[in-house]
Amino acid sequence: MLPLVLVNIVVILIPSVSSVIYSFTDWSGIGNATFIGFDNYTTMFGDADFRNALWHNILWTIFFLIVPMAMGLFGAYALTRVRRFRLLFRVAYFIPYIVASVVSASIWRSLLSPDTGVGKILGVNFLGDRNLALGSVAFVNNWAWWGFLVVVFLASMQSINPNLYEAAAMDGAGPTRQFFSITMPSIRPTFAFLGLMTIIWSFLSFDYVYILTQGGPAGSTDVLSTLLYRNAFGTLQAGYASAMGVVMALISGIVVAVYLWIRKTRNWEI
Amino acid sequence: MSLSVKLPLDGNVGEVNRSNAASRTRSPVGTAGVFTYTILTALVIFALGPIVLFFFSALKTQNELASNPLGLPQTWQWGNFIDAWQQANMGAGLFNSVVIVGGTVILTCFVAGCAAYALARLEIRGGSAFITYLLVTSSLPTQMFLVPLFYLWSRAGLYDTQFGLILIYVGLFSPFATLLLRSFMLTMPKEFEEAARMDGAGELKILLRIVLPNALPGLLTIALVTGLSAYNEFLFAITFIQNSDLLPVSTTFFSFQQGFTQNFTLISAAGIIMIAPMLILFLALQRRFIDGLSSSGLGGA
Amino acid sequence: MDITRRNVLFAGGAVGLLAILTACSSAGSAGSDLDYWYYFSDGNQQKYFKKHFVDDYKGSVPVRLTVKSSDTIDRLTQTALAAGKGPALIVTPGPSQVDAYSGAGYLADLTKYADKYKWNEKFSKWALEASKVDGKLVTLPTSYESMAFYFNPAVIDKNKLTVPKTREEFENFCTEAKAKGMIPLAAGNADWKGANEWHLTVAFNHNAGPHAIYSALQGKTPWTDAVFVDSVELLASYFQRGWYGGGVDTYFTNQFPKVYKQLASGEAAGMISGTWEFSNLAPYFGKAAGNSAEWDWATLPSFRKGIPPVVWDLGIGQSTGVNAKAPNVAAAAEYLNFLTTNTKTIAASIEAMNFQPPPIQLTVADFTANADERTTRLYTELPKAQTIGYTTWTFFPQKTETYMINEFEKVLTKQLSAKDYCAGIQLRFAKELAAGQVPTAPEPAGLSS
Repeated sequence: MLPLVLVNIVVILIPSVSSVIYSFTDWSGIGNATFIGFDNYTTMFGDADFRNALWHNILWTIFFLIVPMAMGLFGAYALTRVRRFRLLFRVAYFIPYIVASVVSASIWRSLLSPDTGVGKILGVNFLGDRNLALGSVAFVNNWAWWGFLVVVFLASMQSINPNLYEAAAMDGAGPTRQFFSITMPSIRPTFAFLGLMTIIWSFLSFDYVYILTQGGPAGSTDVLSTLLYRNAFGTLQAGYASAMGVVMALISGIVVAVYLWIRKTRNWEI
Repeated sequence: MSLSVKLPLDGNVGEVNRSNAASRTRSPVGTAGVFTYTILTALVIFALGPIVLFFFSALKTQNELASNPLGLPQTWQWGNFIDAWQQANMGAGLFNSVVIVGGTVILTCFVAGCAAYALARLEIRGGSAFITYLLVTSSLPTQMFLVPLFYLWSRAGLYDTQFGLILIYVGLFSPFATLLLRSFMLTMPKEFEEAARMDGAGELKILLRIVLPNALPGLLTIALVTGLSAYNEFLFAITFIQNSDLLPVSTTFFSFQQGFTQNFTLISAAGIIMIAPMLILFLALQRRFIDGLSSSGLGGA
Repeated sequence: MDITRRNVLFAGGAVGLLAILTACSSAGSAGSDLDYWYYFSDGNQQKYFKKHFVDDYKGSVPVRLTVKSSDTIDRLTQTALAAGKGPALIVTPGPSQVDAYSGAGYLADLTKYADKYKWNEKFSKWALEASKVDGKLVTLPTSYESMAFYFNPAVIDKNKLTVPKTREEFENFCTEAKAKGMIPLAAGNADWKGANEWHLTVAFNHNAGPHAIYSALQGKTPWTDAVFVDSVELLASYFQRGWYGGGVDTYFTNQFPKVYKQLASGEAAGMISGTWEFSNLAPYFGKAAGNSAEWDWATLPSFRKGIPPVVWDLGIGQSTGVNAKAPNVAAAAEYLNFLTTNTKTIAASIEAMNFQPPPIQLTVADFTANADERTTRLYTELPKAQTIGYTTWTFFPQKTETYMINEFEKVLTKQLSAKDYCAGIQLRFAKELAAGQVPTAPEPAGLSS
């Protein structure tokens, strides 16, 4: 407990508090700052770039709540039902998660490129078309992510008492029924926790956008974190960037609060 | 492509060969058909195909890559790996990564281990508030910490040291590790500890003799997750380490692919070199890591 | 209960430890060498620079070179400076960033060294003027550049194209090249979003014209003037016709290596970029690339009647200042003087590596017979320019410049009209003009002083 508190104070709490302070100033990131009250916050809500990025985060969240979750649950459940090669499948799925984001971005940049790989075959410029770019980046991020969910869900599913399934099978329940009546309720804590983390991480996602598109083309892949980064270091508006950071923290604060409230009213353990 | 045909067949053969014995001892009833295997195999291709292609790119000449980006290499250019190793200075980068990742993992396991045990087992006042705090903590945009942390670190003499970077990583990764480990510990049976407690064993003894061995798979999991995050992180590494002799491999690779070379075969080779250690480590540990994760929930010790 | 007591003790100890660490701060890193952070676009350039500009430097204090990547060096420098650290020599991407650094007191005043090392005689006047903030010299320009039209002579001949001199010729050039299945102009911004402003600079200077820009920079005409709106519209229409990089989408994903390869192979008919490309093109042409391709350059066409046929868009690619907190400011200034005025080393580096020189007077006599004609032509003609233009990264204030880079993509994708785009420029520019953040620009009338 104590070492955690200690390191947390230094690495997270102090910088967070100073960010909150900076969010009320016009600090450029260079030199002195003057206090300007809530100006940054009022600016933000009129800022089309901010709304654009926030919207992309929402889309991103929806994507990650559906696609990798479905793939992870399907993969894990299917693996509980196969006998041969389970280990092999599990390992294979997990491997992309191990690949560093800088490397997987490199892999997919060439695969999606309109000069080589899939982009050429389909005649599509995935990262250059502003209608496709966000989806393409999310796709690449998902590639590296869903296998992790398979492994975690599988671990959780394997701890379910097999007798439950046997009993259900005797009652004539097929695999689909068993999944919804036994598997899902049993892994609910894991599921809820990963759902929560998915939402939170979706609002933080940075690496793939930063490496693949830097928010472009024309802002079509901008998310809050890349916009924050650009404001802090590109346009010299560190005060404004801090205010964005605070808003992001508030958003995840609300998400956590809702989660905890649900957990309390339904009596779940995390 | 051949994989997708083979696996389901093998699966069926397996089912014939040893049907009953397995289904009792392990997992639920095996009812997977060809359809399931086909999808599972397609997913394998989705997961591994891009990496295999990347590996092939690393073995081609530049001309061949341009004319034949998706096929097998005609002549295997193993020399690309040597060139990439030298040009991207991978040796030094890997060594530094070992130090940084090792330090981060050990410290995080310690920090998160203590905290998770306290939160899962000891009745601490404000425990749930603290869990909420940790959740919020692991959901902050870390980019906004760069400037304040830099200020703090250069004041404290931690800037441009590997220890300084390790400390940041521990700070950033420990909240999530703690939460993960705590939920893992919650699934561990309390009975043994309670029995030991009734026998008069002290908290420390319980922690060392009963909790720790039980929690080992969980620790292994957070070690892997944290180690990966540290190994792959580049934004803080670039910012907090100035001396290029101390930089980890993620940053070496990041700047290498950022236009220092126009040669994609070398970028691929460097990328493969970068992911190889983690891959080997995972393959070596995966059985313990994943099996530990699954069996521990049942309370088997 | 025991735990809470330990908690308090531990927390107390932590605060104490932190205090000790903080106290030790000023003692840290008293290394005596001059720290210099720099970036290179390839390994050969790095090796050459290290040998001739660092190892061979025989000043009073040796230099320690640390290599950064081009797209992180500015952020790293900024972060380090904000924390009261940073290298002794501060590399900035040009005067527009200098103002911010100087305002924060990060940069040492170099005015007295200007007399000592006679910089006023050695440097072009415009460059030193643009480097001053409130009358104080705080940086020296370490490289200067112009925009140019690049082509591969063999490709031009084979396809019966002519290097354009007017808008009509330019449009014919692009139309014909496209009809032959070529990409008219190789271009892309995947590696560097700033590429957007290169093309804007060309449109503004060669369509709106240097006089219009000068007037707007003085605040006399607004950026919403029709002449600027037309320039943006014209440029966007060229992009939308697929003339730049083969299309708007591919422009967004083209990386520089591909752009250079297209120019070398004849896939592209030409390229519009800055003179910094001299050093970048080398690996793609001739022996180094295993082909027989060659490149050459010409000045840019004039797009409108009344615009002089030759306009040199002046730009300072990089300014270097001295960290006000550097342990030895005088030694840093001494090294800066070596970097910018040692004509022998500089001329040799131009010959060997096509490095961009600082804006000092170089004559044909400074080069040997081995020198590349393309290079000597540039560096002997440029200082004699009759009409100069203004690059956005040197003469526009920082927020305006960033806006121009980022929002131009929305003009390209038709999400933003040229008119609204220019209104956005004006909005930001007016504020920065009022705050005195617009760099000093020379008159367009030429450099032959």
